[in-house]
Amino acid sequence: MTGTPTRSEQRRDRAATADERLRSLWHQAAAGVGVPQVGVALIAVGGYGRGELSPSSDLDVLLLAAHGYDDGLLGALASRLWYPLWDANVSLDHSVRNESELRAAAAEDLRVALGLLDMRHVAGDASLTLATRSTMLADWRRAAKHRLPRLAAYTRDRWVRVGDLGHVTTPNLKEAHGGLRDVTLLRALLASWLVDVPAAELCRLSGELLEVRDALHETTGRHTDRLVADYAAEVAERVGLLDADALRSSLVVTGRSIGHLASVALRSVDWLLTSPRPVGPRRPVLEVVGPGIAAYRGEVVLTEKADPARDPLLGLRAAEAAASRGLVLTDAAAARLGRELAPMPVPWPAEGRALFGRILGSGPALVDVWESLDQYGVVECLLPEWKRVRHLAPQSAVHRFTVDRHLVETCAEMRPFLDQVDRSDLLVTAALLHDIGKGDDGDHSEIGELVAADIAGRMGFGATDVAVVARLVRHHLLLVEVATSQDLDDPRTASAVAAAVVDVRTLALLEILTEADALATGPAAWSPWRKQLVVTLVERTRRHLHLHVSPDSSDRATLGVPAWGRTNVS
Amino acid sequence: MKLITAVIKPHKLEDVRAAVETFGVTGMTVTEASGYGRQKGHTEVYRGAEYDIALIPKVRLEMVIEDDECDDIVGVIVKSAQTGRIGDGKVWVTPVESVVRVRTGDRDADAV
Repeated sequence: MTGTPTRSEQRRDRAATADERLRSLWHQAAAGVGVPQVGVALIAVGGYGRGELSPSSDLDVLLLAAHGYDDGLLGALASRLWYPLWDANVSLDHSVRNESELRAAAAEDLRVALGLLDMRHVAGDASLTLATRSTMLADWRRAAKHRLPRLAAYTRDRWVRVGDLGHVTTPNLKEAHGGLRDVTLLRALLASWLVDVPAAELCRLSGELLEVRDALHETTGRHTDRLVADYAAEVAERVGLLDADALRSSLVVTGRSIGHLASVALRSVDWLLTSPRPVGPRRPVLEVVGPGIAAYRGEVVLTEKADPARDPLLGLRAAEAAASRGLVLTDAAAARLGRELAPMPVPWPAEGRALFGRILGSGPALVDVWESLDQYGVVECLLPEWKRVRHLAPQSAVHRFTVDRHLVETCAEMRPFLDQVDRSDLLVTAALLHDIGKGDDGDHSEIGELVAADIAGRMGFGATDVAVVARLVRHHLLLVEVATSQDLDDPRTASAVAAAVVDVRTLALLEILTEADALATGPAAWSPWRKQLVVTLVERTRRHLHLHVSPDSSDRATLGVPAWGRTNVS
Repeated sequence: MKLITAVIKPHKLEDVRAAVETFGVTGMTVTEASGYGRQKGHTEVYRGAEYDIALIPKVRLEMVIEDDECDDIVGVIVKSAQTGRIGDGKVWVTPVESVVRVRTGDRDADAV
């Protein structure tokens, strides 16, 4: 019984159809030019080489000649192959090289080298293809230690430039962190024999992304990897998902998983290339950094003494050890914590709160550590409310990240400001929770205030501290909203803000939260224009608070903004 | 046709927008702008450091309208943007030769 072919089968069928067409052209061209069939071959490379042709993909082909092959014959053969394809409007990415040129090009250009790892014979001298493929793989393995630093730098630069697949407004299915280019990277690392990658998992994840790309090509009718919002609903329907939001959620999960594998693999590369060759016995040398916790090869691992089932603080201690040293948790450690970690007692012990505060205040290192904890369910174990915002798509195009990632990035942005305040623990807790009210109908600041107060209470903060965290969450949009919409020259404006924030200390925390929130949102959210307005408002409010010990809360109503934070810009 | 450009205080944007909308203006371009006139800049203290605010935040509005509506709309903008304090901004009018609506190709009055 035969049904409609799956998209995976369709990709293979497209590649097979292209093979047949090229073979037919090859036989006509070879007969026309009268070339010998030995010492020259037509080879599929890149995505075509892997048999992964999406509806509008290019045909990446290489016409390869052995040493000493006649240049004139090769040129004539190439013309007879390429012109019919160009005339038929086939999108062709071609090259004509002999063996030494090919090796030089691969040595020079990493993308050429990666494409050649997927060589597949199409027509001509099959033994030449086989030998060259072996040579290219051997070259790749031999030169891996010299090439991988360049590849790692190039990849990280791309991640910064393009952003994360699941977290940007217009995801690029190929170039984003977690996209198809990272699948190629991981295959290349696997081929180097230096780094291990879970190949079956990678294959599954890659298949999911290719499905979406196929549907995108079907929708747009052209070769593109950018999932523009206008096409998202139709692409979702084509891959059998409910709507654009469901597609985004699916991409978040797939992109995060691929991105995580790529990040872990590159860290292994870093360690391999920078660590001295071990002498003596080859058993792991662990640097113990705490009870049950050790650092090994740039990562934090659990030692044999670790007992997550009896030690509810172990997850926080391991995460703190990693974040404070700029390291990451190993997948194995995070997975074990996710499986076995004992529930945190309520209220949290003081050590737990202190560890949590240090983790959140660790700066950019927090992002990878949090990602590991979240990937294996440790975050939800500590904060069950996290599932409200996990993978939640942003509602505004101003945002760079999904809501959960935005919260983590806000904490990371805070690092430079933390030594300016006496209660950084309250600040980072509010930063982590400031958008926790999103995802439900209603004002997310008001909902978030209640959720944050509940969490802060469970964490063991005293009533006064709980009130500060809740107030920061409630008013996290206050300064920007008032600064851009109210008359700053009117004394009632500063008076009303003072009434909302209550005291100078909360104002100091709120101005840092405002700036970090905006920086984590995106460049448009913290323009010099906005910053200047906020600076003016903060200074005038501070002056007001110094002059008036008990600000008049009735001024709040005079601005006509009784429930601060109505505009959902964060 | 005329191009009306107004540079006003940010908090007056909503008042001006509502006022010109009731007068039949259905579109405008709004840009974050910074500048100074007689108001000049001033100094604020931000996290303990003096912060020289030489350019004051404003918003810039632009709208193209028919000649016969120009004086009235300028009057509406001035009235709704006015606080009576220094730094309220400026409104100026420039002639427009031609306008084309990109989607339809409509020209001039049909495109406004």
